[in-house]
Amino acid sequence: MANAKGKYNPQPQSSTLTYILGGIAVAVIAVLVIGGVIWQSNCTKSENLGYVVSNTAVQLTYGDNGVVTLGVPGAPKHVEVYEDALCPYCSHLEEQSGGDVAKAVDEGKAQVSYHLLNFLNRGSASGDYSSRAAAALQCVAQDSNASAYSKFHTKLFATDYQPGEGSKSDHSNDQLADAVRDAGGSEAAVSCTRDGARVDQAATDAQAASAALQAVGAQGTPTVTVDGIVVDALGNANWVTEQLG
Amino acid sequence: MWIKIVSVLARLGLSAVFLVSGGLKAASPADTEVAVRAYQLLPNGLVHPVALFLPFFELALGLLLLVGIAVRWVAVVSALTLAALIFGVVSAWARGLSIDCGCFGGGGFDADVTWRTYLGEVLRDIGFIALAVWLMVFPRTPGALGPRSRAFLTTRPALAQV
Repeated sequence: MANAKGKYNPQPQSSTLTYILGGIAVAVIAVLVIGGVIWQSNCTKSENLGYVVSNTAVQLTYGDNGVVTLGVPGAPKHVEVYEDALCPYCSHLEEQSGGDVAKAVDEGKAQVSYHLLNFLNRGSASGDYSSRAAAALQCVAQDSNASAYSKFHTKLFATDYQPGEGSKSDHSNDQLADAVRDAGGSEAAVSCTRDGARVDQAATDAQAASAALQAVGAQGTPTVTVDGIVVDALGNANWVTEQLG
Repeated sequence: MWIKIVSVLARLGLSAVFLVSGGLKAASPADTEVAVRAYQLLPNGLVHPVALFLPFFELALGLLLLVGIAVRWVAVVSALTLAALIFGVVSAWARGLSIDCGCFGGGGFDADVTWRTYLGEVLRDIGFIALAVWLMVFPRTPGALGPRSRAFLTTRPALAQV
């Protein structure tokens, strides 16, 4: 190609060596890029995506400050999750690890407690979405049905359900109530959600959740602790296997 | 000769931009996914694939520019990529979203973003496009590996530009 340009062509001539080097460089770049995509894809993929608590031996405990705990009695490890219903990273965490946690709960390896915060209320279109979503979870919790709670909780944080932070719309109480019904909540839970019966209580409990979050030495959501120790759940997709076996 | 010096600076500069932006995105996949989702442009099923590929696509562009292979075509793809990213930022701006562009890592809702932030991001990306356009016109640089991307740093520019 270069030779065809004539003997006065001042451009560098191509040698076999540069073609080989160029070929190697392209191959190395291709391997790095494709390998990177596959490696990262495996790192962030959960085998238990969409898994919700279904073991009937799992009990739901409605504790102080609206903290709800799911677990088979005597489960050795205690996972505590601090999240806000509008927090996109919480949605990411639930998609990445929510199924793994539910599986560990079903298998009796751990119990999980949910602390719902509401500091992102200001980022919602209605101005109080985080509180209303937390209230809906409390309404479902009153059924003492661990499976329905797990299902509704998963739905609330699903990427195709969670409203965008700073977006122009979110879910009304009626819409939340529909989701409660779909998840298997009782009529009492549905009307409790529709009426916003526990919104004030959920907002008060969110303050306690915020204080509890600071007490474990963390600030933002999502924060996860296992037996009281903060774990890097967002950064390490294998934390459930590593911590709960 | 000065054209080739500018071309070298453009090639290495644009390469550094993509290596840094791609590297920061690849290093924190959660941030990247949240950043892509925050634009509210893609259907839910496409957010994850785009967040997965974009960082490594940027890294590939950066590496190809760094070693200097197919510089003209990489410059064309770079300009198109940057144009798409500018479209994303302008669209977020026009829809009144308040988001961190996530251009160099980070991303998601950010209440402190103003029109100045968006304007700055757009102007910066237009600057990067200018580098890419320069490389489309003058792709040959000393030290490049690709046969059609190489040039000697000669004092005979009249014959050098083919």
